[in-house]
Amino acid sequence: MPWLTIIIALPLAGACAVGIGARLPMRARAVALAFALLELALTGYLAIARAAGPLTERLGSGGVWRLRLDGLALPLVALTAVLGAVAVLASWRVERAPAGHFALLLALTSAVMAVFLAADLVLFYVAWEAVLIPMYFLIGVWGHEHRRHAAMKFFLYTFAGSALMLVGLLLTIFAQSGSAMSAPARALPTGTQTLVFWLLAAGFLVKIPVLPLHTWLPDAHVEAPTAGSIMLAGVLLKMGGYGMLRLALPLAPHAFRAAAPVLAGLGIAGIVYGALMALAQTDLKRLVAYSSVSHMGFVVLAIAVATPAAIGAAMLGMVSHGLVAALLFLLVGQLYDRTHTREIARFGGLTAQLPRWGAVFTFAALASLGLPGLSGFPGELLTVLEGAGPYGAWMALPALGVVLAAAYNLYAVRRVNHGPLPDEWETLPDLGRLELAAAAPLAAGVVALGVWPALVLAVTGPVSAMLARVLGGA
Amino acid sequence: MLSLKEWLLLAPLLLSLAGALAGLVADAFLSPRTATRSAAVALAAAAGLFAYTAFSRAAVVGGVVLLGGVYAAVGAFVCALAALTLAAGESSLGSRPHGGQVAALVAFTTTASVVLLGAFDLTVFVVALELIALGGYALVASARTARAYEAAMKYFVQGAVATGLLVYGVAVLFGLSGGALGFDALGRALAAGAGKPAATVALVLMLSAVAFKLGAFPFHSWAPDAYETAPPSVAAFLASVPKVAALLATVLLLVGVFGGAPSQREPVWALLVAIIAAASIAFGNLAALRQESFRRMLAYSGIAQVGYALTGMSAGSRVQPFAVLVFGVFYALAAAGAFLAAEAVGEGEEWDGRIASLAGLGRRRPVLAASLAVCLLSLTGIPLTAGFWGKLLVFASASTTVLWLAIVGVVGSVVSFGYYGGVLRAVYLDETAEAPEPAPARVEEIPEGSPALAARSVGAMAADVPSERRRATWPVAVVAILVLVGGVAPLFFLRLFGG
Repeated sequence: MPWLTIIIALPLAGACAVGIGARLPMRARAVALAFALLELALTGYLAIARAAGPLTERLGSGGVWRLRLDGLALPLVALTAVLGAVAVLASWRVERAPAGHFALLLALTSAVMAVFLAADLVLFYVAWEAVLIPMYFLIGVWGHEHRRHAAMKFFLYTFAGSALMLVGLLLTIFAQSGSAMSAPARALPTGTQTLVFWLLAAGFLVKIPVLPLHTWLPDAHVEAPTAGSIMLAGVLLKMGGYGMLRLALPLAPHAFRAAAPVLAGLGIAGIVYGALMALAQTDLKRLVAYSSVSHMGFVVLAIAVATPAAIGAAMLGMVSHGLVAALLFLLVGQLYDRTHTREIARFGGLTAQLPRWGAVFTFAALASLGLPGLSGFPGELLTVLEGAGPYGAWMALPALGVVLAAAYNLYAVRRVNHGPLPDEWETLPDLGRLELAAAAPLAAGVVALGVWPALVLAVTGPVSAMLARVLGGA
Repeated sequence: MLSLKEWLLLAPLLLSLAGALAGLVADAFLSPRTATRSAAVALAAAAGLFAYTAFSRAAVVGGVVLLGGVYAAVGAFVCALAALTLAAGESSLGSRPHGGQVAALVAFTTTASVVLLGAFDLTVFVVALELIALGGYALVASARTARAYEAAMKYFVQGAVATGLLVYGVAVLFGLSGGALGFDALGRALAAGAGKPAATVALVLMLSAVAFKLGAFPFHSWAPDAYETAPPSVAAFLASVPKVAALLATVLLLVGVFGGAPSQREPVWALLVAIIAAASIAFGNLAALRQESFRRMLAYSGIAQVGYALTGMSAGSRVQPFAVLVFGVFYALAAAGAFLAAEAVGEGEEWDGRIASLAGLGRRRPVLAASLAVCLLSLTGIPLTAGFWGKLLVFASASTTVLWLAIVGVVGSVVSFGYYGGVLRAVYLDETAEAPEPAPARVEEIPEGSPALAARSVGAMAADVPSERRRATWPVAVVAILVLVGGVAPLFFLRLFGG
């Protein structure tokens, strides 16, 4: 069976079913959930089946439909499947045009899957851009007050990056006279590496995002509906890191080594800047958005260090951030549904009124600050340890970032969960069963990865070693 | 005398010409509606016949024009597109006096376009180009408003200058080649090095003339007025069919005549075309960003689109006519769809033509809005639409030789989402209740003869959509489906055009 094609086609079929079924009495959300769960089951099956080695697939002879599932893609594919289902649950009560909302969500899942599974440069680019359209409409139609501005900004920033990436991909296609991606990609001639590297990096670094290119992120994350924020922070940012590892590093190892200090600097700057900005926020969702900048800074730093363990740490960091950020955005969304505000100053003492919500929020904040035993810890620790090799004392700055992370997360918990409960929130209902069900898989994943990071590290191990070898041999 | 096979290749061309004549006669003796219908049917039949002859090998008919093969495939495409624009404009053309003459002109101009795209002789090239221009002047004026007459006059005066340049260029070439005007003979004479400086003069003259016809910077100034004032379905035709023909003819001219011997270094025109391309992209995009009128925005963006097409041509000796052709075809499709959407929304009747007034269209006319969205995304070059593959091919062919131009092109594409996305935003994201007041300056630009429009958005209108507007929706939907098919399964299209 062409399982990889089915993984991409299934959510798309779901999107069509939801879209067509909009006029039928059946509920769009139930259909969407069924498809998302089926996708999750299929991904789980493939994760086990893949134990025998990477899966590849090809449709037709001259076309661009080449797919591969290997250790680099699998953790992110699994993450996408989980978050796809969580996002459907998170938007269970959406009122405005629910069929359109769920159809776009499923289409988005399909496009992201295609990005991670593509083994062809043209297909990769097509999928990369295809992600933009559902996200644009999710933010623009279902978002909050400034949604139109945020949607446009999101689209233009990422489109600008990916347009330059397209030129880089075209140069690559000509240099290797074909659009197939081998694993790892063969290095380009040394003369063209620098140009191609920076063109590709333009697309990836905007998406991650690194420091000067990050300004679309707070707007988009804050204005997006909850499901949109979950997919945006949980999965879309990972496309950038994945692209660096999948394409930029192996295609241009020389240029990558030359650029590594710059990347590391950008990563460190992102860690500290994101944390400081998070500390200064008065809007809870914006705080979570800036914490994303900080956490993705660790991923960029780990990629720049690029030892086998650091690449593993980057992958671990991406999966962990995917789970933690999704959980935080889910919780903020649930709170907003009840209070219609995100202003930290208006909250307080919520644990008394919403014990379940408060408990999960505290748990998520602890995961975000990197508490040992939860998923944030191993990735960031490994990054700092590996980074100490090439960058030595500079690693004090990411360590400072961890301290700041503790500061803004605990600040948020203290202001929101503790203290006196304002009168206006005295009748808020606590989380229902469905809302807990949405949070449960994320929390379980956070604990599992924290206790047993090998879950990701073992899968990515062979690929990390291979990539590090490519870089060493350059 | 032509052989039977040559007659067969010529037959669809004669059929579209017959459609034009039928339109004229029907307009005179029957009704404008019948005239429009008969011209549309004849064009559709010509498209079918072209599609049939596309399976035979391309051949030079009568020593002057290429027909069959890929030329017939493109012929089928332009005839079908022209038929679609007539179908969309059927009710508006059919309800005005002598609207059938407009349909006849469309069929005439389509015929000239097919001749132009296969022109293999300088005389045929010039005559076909001028026939298109003549048809164009009349079509722009066909709205019969003061603004339309002004736009047509502007178009005509500038076009006359371009014609002068063109004829002068032809005269120089005629002298250089010792009297030969076939592309073959001309190419051989120039490659042999006949009169280098004079050949360059001829090149610049002809390139300027062609750039005018394409609406490339700095010969673009007629385009916005023309595309804004012509009836929407006619504008859809003008922005698509003649453009494809002129693009393909330009490539054939540059490669066939000025290509030079393969051993020589890059031809002179490569740099010239690259500069025109970059200037068109920069100017068209920046100017389009400032527009409030939907069709004026499309017109300025069309200048940028011509720039992308020229980007594909500027690869010099490594130019791939195929890339330009695919880009041109996919551009024409999406541009026609966007202009036809203006017809279907009801410009001049229910809609004042401003982008902001499209607010609420997504709710009120979901099929039309989705079709328009597909066309606009295709014009932006977003994957999964046909426009992406066109841009991919032209930028790819440029990135091997003129990388800077490819980068200008992709940056231009990003900017273009600023205005194409602006329409999407109005259609889907804007609330209808807060339709803004129109700027006073724009009010005067509403075509005369149309009832004064209250400044309100399309979505705010409570009444049912008139049935003739509903009927004008299907051509847009057909275009959108083609754009999507081209985006998802490009190989099917690419093989059609000889990939």
